[in-house]
Amino acid sequence: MNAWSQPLQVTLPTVLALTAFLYGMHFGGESAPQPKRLRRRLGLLGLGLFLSLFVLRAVSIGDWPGRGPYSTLSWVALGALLLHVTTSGLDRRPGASAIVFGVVATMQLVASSFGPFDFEREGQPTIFDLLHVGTSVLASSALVLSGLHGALYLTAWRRMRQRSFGPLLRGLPSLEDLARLSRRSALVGFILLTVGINFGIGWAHIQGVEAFSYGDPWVLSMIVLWVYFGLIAFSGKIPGVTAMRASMAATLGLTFFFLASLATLIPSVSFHWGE
Amino acid sequence: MNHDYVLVGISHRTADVATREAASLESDEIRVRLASVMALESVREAWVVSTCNRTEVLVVSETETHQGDKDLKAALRQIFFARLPFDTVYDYRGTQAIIHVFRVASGLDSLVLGEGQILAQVKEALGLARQEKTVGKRLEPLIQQALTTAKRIRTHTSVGDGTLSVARAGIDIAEQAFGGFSDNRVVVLGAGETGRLAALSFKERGVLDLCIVNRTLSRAEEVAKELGCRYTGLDSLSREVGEADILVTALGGAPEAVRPEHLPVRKLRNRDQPLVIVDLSVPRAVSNAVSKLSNVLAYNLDDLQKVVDQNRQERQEAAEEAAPILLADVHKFLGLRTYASYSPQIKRARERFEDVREKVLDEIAEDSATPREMKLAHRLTAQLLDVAFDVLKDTARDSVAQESIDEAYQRFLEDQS
Repeated sequence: MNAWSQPLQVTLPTVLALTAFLYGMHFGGESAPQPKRLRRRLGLLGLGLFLSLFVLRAVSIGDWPGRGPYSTLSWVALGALLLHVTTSGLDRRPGASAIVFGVVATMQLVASSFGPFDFEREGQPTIFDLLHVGTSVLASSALVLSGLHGALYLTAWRRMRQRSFGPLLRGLPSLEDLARLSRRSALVGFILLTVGINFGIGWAHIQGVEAFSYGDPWVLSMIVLWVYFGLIAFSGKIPGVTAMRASMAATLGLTFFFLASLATLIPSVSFHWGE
Repeated sequence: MNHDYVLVGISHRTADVATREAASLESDEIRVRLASVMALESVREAWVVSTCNRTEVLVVSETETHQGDKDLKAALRQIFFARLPFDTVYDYRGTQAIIHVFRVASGLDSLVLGEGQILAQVKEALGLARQEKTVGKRLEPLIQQALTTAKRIRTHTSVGDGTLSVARAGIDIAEQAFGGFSDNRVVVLGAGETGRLAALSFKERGVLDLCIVNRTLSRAEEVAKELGCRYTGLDSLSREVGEADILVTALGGAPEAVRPEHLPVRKLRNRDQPLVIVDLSVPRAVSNAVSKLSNVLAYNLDDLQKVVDQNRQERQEAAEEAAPILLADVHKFLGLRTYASYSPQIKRARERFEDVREKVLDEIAEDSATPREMKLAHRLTAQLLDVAFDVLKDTARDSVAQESIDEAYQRFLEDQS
């Protein structure tokens, strides 16, 4: 297992970064070389490698998302990529693909660099893993995507306000498209977190997990994000919350998510990470 | 007999609009002139393109003397540009004529650099010449290659990217905000020619709803009827803008006619998507205070002109990038033309190869060659011929020095400047 895991963890961020670069050539305009077939193949290879890593670790050593902060980060990155490919395809919005691949590559680079390569076998994934951890991880991926599209909306908005119609703006999807993607991702994140959080709380009460507390930094952060992204998801119906304001909120939400992850995951202050 | 290309014409580079209009020809007139050209003794093939910006005739001639060449050019001037000032008419010969045709088809010689309409016009002109049977084995490949090169240049450079029209730049900006327009409502303030054209552009792009707002209701009605859209008076402006995604203003002599008090500011501030305002008026009809409103993206002619200038600059740079593609294709075309001139020799070589094959078969098999031996002999001959012709093709291409084409191109550009 480890013989495969280590090369995969090194290769994966490299392939993802290279794909991001190739999609990023879209910002060079139509005259810039557009290796469409190569970037698509590389993107699919990255996705394939990611899924291979997931299956290898999950099945062989029982390393299910949530067993460690860095593997969780890795699965959140995988989820974000899967959701992006599902909602936007690889080539429909090349500018957005470049940014998503870039962020996912960075997340995986951190996970590969700091995460342990070897794990003790901890048993096969349970229904709890699927319903609590799986949904929460996928929800986090959706929130990352929502925040990313929000940030891209703000970038495009700022460029349009400044009358800067260069290649960066031309390479991005339209404002309306970005707002729609941000809200839809927030909605997916909200629905999945509804399942994940409530199942986790119920399970903790039934199992009598002593360390569980609503004040636990990770539990609290997730509840805050659940409510926050729920508001963003339905912001189109709330008077006064414009697409621009919703995008700003999604970007702030993403920042909060990363800061909360840093604060709770790295020092291992949450009972989630075995304290 | 030596064949060469001769081109005579006028264009926006040498003639003003009135002169170009005088030289412009309809299809029927082109047919008549083509017949006159083909009646000239030295002309073997002819092709004419006539647009609002150029009228040009390209012929394949068989003139051996300098005087013959001069007489041909004079005759072509007489047929096409008899009443026009002498210095508005230019002519090219040989490689320069080929380079010129390639540049024309690629939009590199167009009034609006890189415009794509010329491609269709060149194709149409070829169709007409085909109908009249005035193009053949020398002109047809030239025009076809020019069209292929034009497509290559448009694919590999950004010479056709970015609009050079300010109104179109405004539409492009609105598109950056909304993607398509199928879900969007557009209000056009002003029913003059600019307003009508802007409304027409949006209509053609399939907007969900289009409304013409004008002080004079009868004029708004006239335009609305033509375009099949709604119209209303100025008093409904605020209500219409409150529902619209895009506001285009095209007013004449109405400075700052649109101020915040004319707009539903509160509604605009609180709605989901921004309002995009494109002000095509001179002087500006939208006040600065409007562009500072929350959730409003407003652009005036100065902003749009900057976009157009940037696009023009990018097209200029792309035109320079197009030169190597154009020259490589001219080189390839000249090589193939040289190769085509070997066709009598190629035919003779093929016949001799076949004679030799039959002779050898007779000697070896004495009239009793098996089908397998026959097939082998035929394939061997065909493959050896292919090898020989490939070598000949390379030789033909090498016989045309790339440097000489580069020099011809430089001379061509110097002559034009």
